[in-house]
Amino acid sequence: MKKMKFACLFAALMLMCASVLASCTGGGPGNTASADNILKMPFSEDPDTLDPQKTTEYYMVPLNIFDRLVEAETVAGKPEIVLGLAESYEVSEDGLVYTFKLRDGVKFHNGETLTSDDVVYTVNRMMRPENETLNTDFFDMVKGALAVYEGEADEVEGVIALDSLTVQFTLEYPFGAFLANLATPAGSIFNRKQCEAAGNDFGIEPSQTVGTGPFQVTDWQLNNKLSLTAFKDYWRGAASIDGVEFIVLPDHETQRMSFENGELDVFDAFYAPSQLPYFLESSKWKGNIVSGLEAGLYFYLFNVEAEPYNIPGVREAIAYAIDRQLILDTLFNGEGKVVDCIVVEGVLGHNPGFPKMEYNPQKAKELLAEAGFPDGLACEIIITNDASSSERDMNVAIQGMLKEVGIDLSIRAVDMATYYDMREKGQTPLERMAWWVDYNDPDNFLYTFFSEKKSAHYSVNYFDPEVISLLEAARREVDNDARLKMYQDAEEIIVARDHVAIPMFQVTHTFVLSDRVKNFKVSWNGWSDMPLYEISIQN
Amino acid sequence: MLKYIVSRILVMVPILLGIVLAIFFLLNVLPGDPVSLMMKDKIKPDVIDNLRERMRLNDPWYVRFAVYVANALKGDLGYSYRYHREVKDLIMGAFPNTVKLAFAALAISWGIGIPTGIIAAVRKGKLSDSVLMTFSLAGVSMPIFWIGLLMQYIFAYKLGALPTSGFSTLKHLILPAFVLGWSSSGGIARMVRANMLEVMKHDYIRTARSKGLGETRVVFGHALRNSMLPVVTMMASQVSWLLSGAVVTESIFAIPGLGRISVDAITNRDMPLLQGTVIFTTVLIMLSNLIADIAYGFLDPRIRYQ
Repeated sequence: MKKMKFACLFAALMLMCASVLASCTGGGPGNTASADNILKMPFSEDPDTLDPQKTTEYYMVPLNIFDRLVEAETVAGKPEIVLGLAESYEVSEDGLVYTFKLRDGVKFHNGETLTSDDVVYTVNRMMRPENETLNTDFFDMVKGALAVYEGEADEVEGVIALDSLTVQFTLEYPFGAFLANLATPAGSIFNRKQCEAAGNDFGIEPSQTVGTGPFQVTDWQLNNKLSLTAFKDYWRGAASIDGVEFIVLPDHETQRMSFENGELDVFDAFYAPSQLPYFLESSKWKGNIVSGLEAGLYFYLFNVEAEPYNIPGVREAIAYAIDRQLILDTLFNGEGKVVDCIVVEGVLGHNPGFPKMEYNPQKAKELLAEAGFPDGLACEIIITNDASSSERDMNVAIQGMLKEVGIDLSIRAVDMATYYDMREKGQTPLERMAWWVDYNDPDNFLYTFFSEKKSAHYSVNYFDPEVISLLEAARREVDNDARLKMYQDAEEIIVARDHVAIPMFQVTHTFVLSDRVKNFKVSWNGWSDMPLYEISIQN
Repeated sequence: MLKYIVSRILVMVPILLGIVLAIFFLLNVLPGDPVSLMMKDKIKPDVIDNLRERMRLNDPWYVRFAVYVANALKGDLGYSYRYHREVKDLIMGAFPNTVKLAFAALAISWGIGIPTGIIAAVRKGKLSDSVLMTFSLAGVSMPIFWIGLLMQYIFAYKLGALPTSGFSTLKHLILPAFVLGWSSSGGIARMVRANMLEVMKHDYIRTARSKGLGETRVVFGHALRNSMLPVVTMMASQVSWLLSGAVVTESIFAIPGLGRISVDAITNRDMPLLQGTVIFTTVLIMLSNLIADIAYGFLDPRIRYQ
């Protein structure tokens, strides 16, 4: 009898579980693939905002809902600045005045027509301190822009509407990378009327976030998904896909399984690098892999005021002691390219003849002895405790390589806020940087880290007079060849002579595509963030 | 009873104030600030100075504390640095998802845990006792992320029966709720079993049996009710734990719940969001404990509230 009761209870329990499972229908993997015309892509986290003036890293949606006066695109395999909202432009001989003629009849998602006043408004909005924008440096070379930011003027003097379709920028100095700056997401053009009405909701509320781009935002469920719909009145013609759905999936395994199940159309290895080896070895997916070399690199930056990195010989010895190819092969599946310079392939001004740096542990030992450390030395690197596994592994690999030549590298992890605080105060001794180009110009790499104005903020503290003078002069040089030569000279001093930075490698950005995705082109800079306009779906 | 509830609620006020004060103090003494975190690797000193000023981060912490409390009393919990949205909107947006997940998980947890504990106690020392306790132990012992991935692999990836992730339909709820429910059912089962065994030794059980009551009546009518008191305490903490957000489960199954925004608040030093989620979670914990205390009175008539 007791046995009967137990059996009944157990059966009831199982029945309960079974009824839950029975409510589910479906088939095997891949059966959940949709047959709609919506591209489904992963996000590892939500953007903080869709307003590109207020974010420094979430550019995927802004690139697709806004347009810029000019755009950065790959033309015949090379990055080029092409016309966007401007149908033509002229630059004065002294490089100070840029005049843009806008396309006629370009519509915003709210039905408004683009005018030069919208461009003037966009620049002024960026520079008004009360708007709490983050990307002011993309416009701060425009005459009077900094005066607005510092509260000394109400309007940016250097941007005026000559007529309803002509807008003119006057710069404080002839900045060679100005067009490249305008082609970044921060150069996205907003609609005055909509932006002023939306206030703080611009970039947050889908209905209020209006641009001229090929897609418009229709839904944003935080930590779940963000939906874009093709804009029917887009000036280049409506996109061939009906829309894009970005699904927020923080977990790597979940991203892979979702992709294989057909819940995603694109697997982005940048968001889930731990799953890349699986796809590289998968006979099913090998043929669906597309990749492009990223216009950016991993590199190590020394604080030249911190001991023992203040000794050039020590920095050079460390550079010789690192087997970069081995790290690339081991940690990144060989998917990339060892580099010797900072202005890498794909970036304007890249120097293919840059002096090579070889792996030579013996030479490293000799340099250490010459620097006064024949018995080796101890040094430190500080990382954030949420560092990616590739960063942690890279540091551990280097720790082992340095041990071989007598350098005892300790790795200290601190939380992100502490790390940024230390760096701001110039207290981080050695830093591993991953820098992807924001705008296609050597200025974006070299001025950012090695100029007099910025070097201390990254805890580099490198104030070489020759480099400072070259970087400042290059910014103001009108002749393109001459200014690129200045950047190359500065780069050679920084890397090959003074060893302030150790360039490691460029990696390729790999995507795996479902069979229905067509015309997918990896962005020129290798970002995850890319225009999706030309992609099509074939069910 | 009403007097007791009101007094308990009044006690919550100084506790909440103390917690907000503690967070303000801790965030103040820790190095770093949220503006640097917003900027990440793009360092722009003039922008950082402007934002610090406008976000009042240059004010002394006690001034910010006073402003925060004054605003909070008006229902304004501030504006999230990370999400650029009102904190109360973020919490209210995430909480319903957390509630759905929590209650589905609780139903599974109690649905598995209580019967398992009862059967194991009744069948003490038998094979079924060992099997059920092993099942419970497995739930408690296996890390949630592992169970989550295992379930995803079997039911979503291999069988294609359920979606891998997301939270738009009831089907999306099954896997995460089962994972959370199973992992927390083990503790309930073991607690029910232990208490049942303890209660079954008491005189009144023997008396009930000697009166000729059937075993089912003895177990469910006498033993179970009296063994539930410690279990209710455990259930209360389980409710508050689940309602404050199950971070790992929410991440694996991409559920837009409280756990994820809480973790984001911590990693991004998003002070308004962090304070908001802590206050909200604290209130939930205090309320669930209050409900548990009230439930004691119904389970054990000897407990009276003054």
